[in-house]
Amino acid sequence: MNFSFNRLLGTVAVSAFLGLANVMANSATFDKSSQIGADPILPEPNAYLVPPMHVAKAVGWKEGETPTVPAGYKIAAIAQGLEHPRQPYLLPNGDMLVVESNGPGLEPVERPKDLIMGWVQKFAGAGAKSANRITLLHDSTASGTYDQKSVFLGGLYSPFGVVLVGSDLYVANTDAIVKFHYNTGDLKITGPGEKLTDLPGGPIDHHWTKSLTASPDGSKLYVGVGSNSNVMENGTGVELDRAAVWEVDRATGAHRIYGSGLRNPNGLTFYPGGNTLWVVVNERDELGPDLVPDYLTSVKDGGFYGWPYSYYGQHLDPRVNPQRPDLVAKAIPPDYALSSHVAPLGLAFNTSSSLGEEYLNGAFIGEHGSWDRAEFNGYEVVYVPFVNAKPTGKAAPFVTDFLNANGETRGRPVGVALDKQGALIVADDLGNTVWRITKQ
Amino acid sequence: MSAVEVSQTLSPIVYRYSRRNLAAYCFDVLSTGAGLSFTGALLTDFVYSKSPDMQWTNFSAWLLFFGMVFATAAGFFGIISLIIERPRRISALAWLYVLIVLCIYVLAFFNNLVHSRDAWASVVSTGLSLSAATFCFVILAAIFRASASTVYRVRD
Repeated sequence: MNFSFNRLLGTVAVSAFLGLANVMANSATFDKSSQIGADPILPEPNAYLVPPMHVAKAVGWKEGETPTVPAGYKIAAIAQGLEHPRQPYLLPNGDMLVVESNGPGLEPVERPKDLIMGWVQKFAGAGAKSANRITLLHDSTASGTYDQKSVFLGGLYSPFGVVLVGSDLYVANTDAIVKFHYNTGDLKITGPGEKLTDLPGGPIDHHWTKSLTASPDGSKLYVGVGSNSNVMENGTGVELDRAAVWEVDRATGAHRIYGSGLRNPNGLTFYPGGNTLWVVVNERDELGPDLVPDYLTSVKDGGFYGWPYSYYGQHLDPRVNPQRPDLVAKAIPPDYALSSHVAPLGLAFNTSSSLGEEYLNGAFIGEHGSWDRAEFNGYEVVYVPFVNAKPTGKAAPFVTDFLNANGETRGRPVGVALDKQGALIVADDLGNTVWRITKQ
Repeated sequence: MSAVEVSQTLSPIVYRYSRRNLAAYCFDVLSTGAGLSFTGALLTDFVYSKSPDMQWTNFSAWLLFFGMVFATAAGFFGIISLIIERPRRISALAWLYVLIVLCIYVLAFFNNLVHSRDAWASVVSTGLSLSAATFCFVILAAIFRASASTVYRVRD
């Protein structure tokens, strides 16, 4: 009797799996471009038994392979063999800093699900140890060849953001902003660091990247502090002062929350010539392949952008309890959707016409790429045109083919920057390369 | 159901198993473990629904996970036991018991998936309902298990 019981059981389990597989496969023909721009179309949220998951196998770049750029442009690797380069930062003399970093690995296993997620991360090549250093690429001929590579600063702790104000170089480790003295032309930081302020690091430190910028007048720093969960499933306590942009006073280190409800804000950048802070935000998972669109937005002082209670303005997230109708009522819809799960991590505004007039005044955005939808999304650098300092029209791919034809990933773009010659710089943390794109 | 039978149901260890069929003993211990785990998950789900502290859902998720581990191992020993016993006839009551156990397994399987969702939606209301339904079947199984001879003809 038990024999047939188990056979029956096996049959039921197998058919249950097949049913789920069918649900996962029907990634309907949703028009992704309807989620690029000011008014994205938002489908109804799903509640999954097994949420869609599609992780690209990491294969790296073969000799001679590069990402693709539009006709009339040229792409070259200016540094290879780095360890998870995340963020390029240009110094005034044309030298380039490259932050090599990875997460601190503090996430405990809280649920059986975390065991599976850990395995998925490993598969995607995201589980590696952090190099915790900044490398300097020196351009001795000022020609964009960056012929010298050396260690600029080591002993950091999962750093991400860097900003120079005068001779103060600030590095945002995952748990603190640290100040170093820098003289123009220095190839190495020799002096000790001085902590300006602590930042929320562990416990957990789910979204660990602390993006950093300074106000145009240099008096304040702005730092992105991502949430400690997807949608508050680790409890409210661990979210204190997270999912927010902090404003930090440079003189005292005191901070206040500048913008909140921003799940994982990155690429903090002021629009050139203005006082408007822009960020790219990674929105929540497990509501569907086309929910919720990641976005680019200006951050209003004191503005609340929804997380975790609502998304894209007042769309309630059914997974959060207790809800906060008082906060949801004032949730600001973001300015510009980038489509779902593209994972934007880098943002740079282009103020030179070196790349042509069609790429002037807009934003380059590094999209790290999706893992939780059947059809890949992101894995490219896009350009969002701006008119009168506001995003307008459709984002267009600029650096593409980080995925190969087999759907394996050779690289993943993260931070972007523009160098002294006006070339676009892209940090590729899977290909361990820094790419430079110029107009031919 | 006599008091003796009830006590036998609650404490399978007092059973006298045939020396050559330790598998039947393993089945009983493991299926009792599974039943207790699923019952625990109902309790922690219920507490979470009244007091939304995420730690309760973590408890539920682990109880359901290990409940499945126990249930799967119990199924394995059930088969072994059956191979050893080779019963000539299977009673209707025994079939009913098998059906109930099967329901528990399927419900708990889906409940594991529901509990892998994030935050409130992992429990309220689908997760809690599944936990309650599983618990009802666990009670039913315990009642049917009480007439153990209908399921396992334990030899002396």
